[in-house]
Amino acid sequence: MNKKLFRRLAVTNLKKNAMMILPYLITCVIVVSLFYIVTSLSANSGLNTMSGGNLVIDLMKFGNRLFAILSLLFLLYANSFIMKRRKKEFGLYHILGLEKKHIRQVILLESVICSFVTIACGLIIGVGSNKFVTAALSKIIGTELSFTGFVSVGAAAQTIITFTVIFSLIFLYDIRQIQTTNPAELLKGGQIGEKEPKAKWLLAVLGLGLLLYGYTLSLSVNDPEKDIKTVVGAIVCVTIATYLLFIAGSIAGLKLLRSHENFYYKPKNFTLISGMLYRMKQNAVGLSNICILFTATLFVMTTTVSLYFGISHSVANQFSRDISLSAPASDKEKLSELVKFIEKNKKLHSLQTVNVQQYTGGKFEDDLNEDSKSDNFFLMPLESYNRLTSQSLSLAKDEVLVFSGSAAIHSDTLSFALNKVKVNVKEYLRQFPLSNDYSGIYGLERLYIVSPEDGLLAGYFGTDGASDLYYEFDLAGSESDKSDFSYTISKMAEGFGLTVNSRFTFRDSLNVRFGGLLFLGILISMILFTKTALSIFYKQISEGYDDQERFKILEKVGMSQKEIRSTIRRQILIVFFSPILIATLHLCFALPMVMKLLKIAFMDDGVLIVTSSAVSAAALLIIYGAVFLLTERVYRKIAAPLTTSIGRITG
Amino acid sequence: MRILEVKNLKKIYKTRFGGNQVEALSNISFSIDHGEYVAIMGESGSGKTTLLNMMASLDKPTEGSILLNGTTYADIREDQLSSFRRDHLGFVFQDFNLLDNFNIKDNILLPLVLSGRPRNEMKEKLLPLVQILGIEKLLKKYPYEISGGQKQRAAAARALITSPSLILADEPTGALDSRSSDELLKLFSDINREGQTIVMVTHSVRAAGCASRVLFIKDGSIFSEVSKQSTNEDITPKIFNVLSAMSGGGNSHE
Repeated sequence: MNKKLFRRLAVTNLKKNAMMILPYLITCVIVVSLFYIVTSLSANSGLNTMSGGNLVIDLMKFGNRLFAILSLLFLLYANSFIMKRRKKEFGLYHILGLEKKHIRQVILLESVICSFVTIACGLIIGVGSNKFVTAALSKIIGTELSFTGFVSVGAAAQTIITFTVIFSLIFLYDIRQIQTTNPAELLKGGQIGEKEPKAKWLLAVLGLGLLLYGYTLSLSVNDPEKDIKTVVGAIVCVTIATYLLFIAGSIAGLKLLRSHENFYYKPKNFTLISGMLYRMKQNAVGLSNICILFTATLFVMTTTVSLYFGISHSVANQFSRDISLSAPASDKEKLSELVKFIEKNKKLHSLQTVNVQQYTGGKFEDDLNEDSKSDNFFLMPLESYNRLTSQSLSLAKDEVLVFSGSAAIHSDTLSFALNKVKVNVKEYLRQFPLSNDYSGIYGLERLYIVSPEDGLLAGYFGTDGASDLYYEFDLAGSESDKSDFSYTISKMAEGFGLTVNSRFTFRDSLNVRFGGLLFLGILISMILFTKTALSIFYKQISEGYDDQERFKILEKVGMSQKEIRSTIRRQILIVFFSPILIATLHLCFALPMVMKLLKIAFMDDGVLIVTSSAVSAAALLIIYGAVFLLTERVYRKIAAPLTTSIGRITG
Repeated sequence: MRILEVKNLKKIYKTRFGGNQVEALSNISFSIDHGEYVAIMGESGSGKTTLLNMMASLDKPTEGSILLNGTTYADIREDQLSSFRRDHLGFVFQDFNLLDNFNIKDNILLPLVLSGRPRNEMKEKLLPLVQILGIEKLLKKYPYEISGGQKQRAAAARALITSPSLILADEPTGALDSRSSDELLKLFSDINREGQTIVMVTHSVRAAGCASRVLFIKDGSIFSEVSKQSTNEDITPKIFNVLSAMSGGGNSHE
């Protein structure tokens, strides 16, 4: 046995199994290049310095780990299909006199060749496309990223090491496969007669019940932060239900169809149902995996896409004015200086200040209605309120005016445990000059309480007669001027040590954050999708080989090529599209929960969320359809080749 | 009445890249009458399987024609061929070719289902047939749960259920032990007595001895023919004679 022979054997093996191995190699290349891209982006120096850039770096680092884990799982899975098909081949070598250690050497050589080729190609593609990817990320996050054009050596090294480890693990798995089977079994390969699957009605019903329960849970979530258990419960229920339904439900359903003789004994249904029964038995777990992955992909796409495209919405929800300045009462001088600066410089930027609101008050938290839950409230001195509303109301020392966005608090007295005082509510106001911030979004509802400066609540105002000073206004002018001026103001305010919230700086930082999320979401979707497509491709191919015999017999018994092909097509259609259909169903029931979840990021545009989920699902479906057409062709080639030789009675 | 007519049949196989030509059949002619039980014998590679494939319309001859009930195969449109095969021919194979994912009942009903026959016709035909074949207790079982002989009887039932003009059997006893073989051969004789025409390709002298006529094929053409003069005649010695004559022709016996 010389080395040359092994080398030749390994190379011819790879060539011979090209149709089998090529999709696997292509996936490897894609994964390697994406891994490199993510890794090199996490080292991009431009991201370090920009607002929100650290999050993007963290996201990319997370992506890097996630990709490595996903790669291992999926490549192992796809590889096991290849090994199953190739067992026969190795069995033959064994019979021909190659020892297991020789076969091991052949596999080692093959692995080395494949690993080298895929890592090299992946790196080349990754390096080559890095420029475009950086440009795309820059565009998405709205900030120019520097692109050095050099190969990131660290990223390349990390990619090589990671995938060498992954491929080695896969190689070890292959070796184990060969080691643990005896030659006779190797020769037989996958062709062992299978028993008819039993219908597990209990599990099927349990699956259906869990699914409905999971959906109900998902719909019942109100506040994702508080109902985190319900969220997790819904996810767990639906996941288990998916597996149960694919494993037991499908078989039970098919058996039910089969027991309807008038339906079953029809040319169209007869072979399909009986074939599907076996398909489902072998593939239920795989299909449920695919379904779960699809749901995850749709989920990731929906959230990231709607977050990104809902940025202006989030910004508007969080800030009622373009610029809000605030300072503790002790910094009064600094604030008026900053306001002076703004008044002086706004002309330079050809801008106007409009909707100016100046008021004082403070944000506090206490259990006001004694229900042992703390309430947020904003306490405003009467004088400030009178000024804002141009009134001259007066209140007794123990009296307050209250504006409440919710119906929860409506008692006549409010207690302030912190200062151990009780006050009487003189009036519940219908409206309030300050917009009720994000109270409408969820959870964080805030009471607005107006109290006389010398009242019982005076302690909250501190020595200066007010806790905080607020100065808020909108800018009128061109967008770019507004943005520029916002940054100028922010810089000034920082110099003074004052707090400034600007819609424009906030939007830009959200752009970076959500853009980074979107970017990672797209990459994750790509990876998940490639791998889903890969596994379903191998699933179909291995089924094609299993079905080969069956369709040969069917043709001999009098089934025409046309009928066989239509049966095949419908069988693939069902196997192919059942996971995506169920995933879409999952998504539909998860959408209300997703909407509430996104409210955490102040994103409450339901139409946008529904649209992004619909677009994501449609995009997946289209790409998936293309994979379907490809798979169908390959499958048909294997299961029912169009040559006449298929019809020959014996070999 | 003539059921099958084979006229000047010739088949040449080309190797894939057009290099060598192999003549599998050269000028074969014979005909089969209604109610006949014909065995075709020959060594491996003599061309008998090629012949059977062409009688089954699974393969096309290079020259010559085959007529079943007066219809030339070549005249049947490609898309009609399957249903033609389904309606006029019944197949019994050496390796049974039962589908593992159907139970015995569904395996037997398969041709009827594919033809889109009504449910009550299936019911009417199934029961008497499986009673004759003695497999009525196996209907709910799956192929991998029953013996070879039982499988072959199920396969015979599948071939018979469409009431075909002709049963084509390819080494039907090839994978059976001698007891199951005898049972199957008796079954074939029984259904032949009922009027069913059978053509059987076989290696086995014992199987061929059950037929009313035996055709011997050597190197792609008919070498000889033996027929029973009366139904009870034992033609086994005659068959042995022909076989030894065939192998005496210079080639060593396999």
